Amino acid sequence: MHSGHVVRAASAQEWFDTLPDAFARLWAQVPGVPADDRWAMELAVTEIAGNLLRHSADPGAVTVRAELSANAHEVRAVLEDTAPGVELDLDRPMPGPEAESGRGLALVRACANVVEHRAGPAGTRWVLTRTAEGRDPEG
Amino acid sequence: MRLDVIPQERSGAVLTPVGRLTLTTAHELRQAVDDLVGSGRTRLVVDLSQVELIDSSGVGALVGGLRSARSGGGDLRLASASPQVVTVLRLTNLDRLLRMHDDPATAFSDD
Repeated sequence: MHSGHVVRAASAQEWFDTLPDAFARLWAQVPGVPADDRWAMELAVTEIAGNLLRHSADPGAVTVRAELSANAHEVRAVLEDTAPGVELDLDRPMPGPEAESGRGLALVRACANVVEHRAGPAGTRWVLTRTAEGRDPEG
Repeated sequence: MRLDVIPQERSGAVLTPVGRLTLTTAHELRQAVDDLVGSGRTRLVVDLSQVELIDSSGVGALVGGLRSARSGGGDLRLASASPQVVTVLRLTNLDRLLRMHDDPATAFSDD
């Protein structure tokens, strides 16, 4: 069984800025989550929130609803925003070391072992899961 | 994020970001590197010991800072990264590009 909470934000900036507190609250609710899983999920969600902030046509008009939950074996984030969704190539490989950008989605893939992305005209829904069994060997 | 910058000798500096090196803060590091290089300080160390979380924008700022320091005839080196930061640098293959050191004070001692 998971414990967690729901976060709502009235803009992409508010969503990005609230992440540290939102995750601190989750880790306080579920104290047994290993440190590697905590930062990896926080990083994956930070990348997605950053993309929303950078690429939305009108970041101030986007609202976000997020469910963050965890137990000792799994961390899960369900993120829904109202920005018109765009199709993404989730399999895009990590760019070379000299690139100054383009690493975000590859990092999301590396940090969460299940990534679901559904984009529609009314918004985007992400479901990210990181389980103890499916951890990346680097993480 | 807070960014502490301590000049070292005539041509160096240690930059210490404190907090989260992410999309909304990475440009501060990038700008500080450019300012230092512009003033002739090109042997730069980024002390990562106080970084709580680094994202792809933070990684990009390190790559950009390296490019800036090398274009000025110097180098940018990393020191004291936490296990989380080291893992992100490995996942992004940055460990192939930027040299990691245990201690900011000795990051240039092998020259």
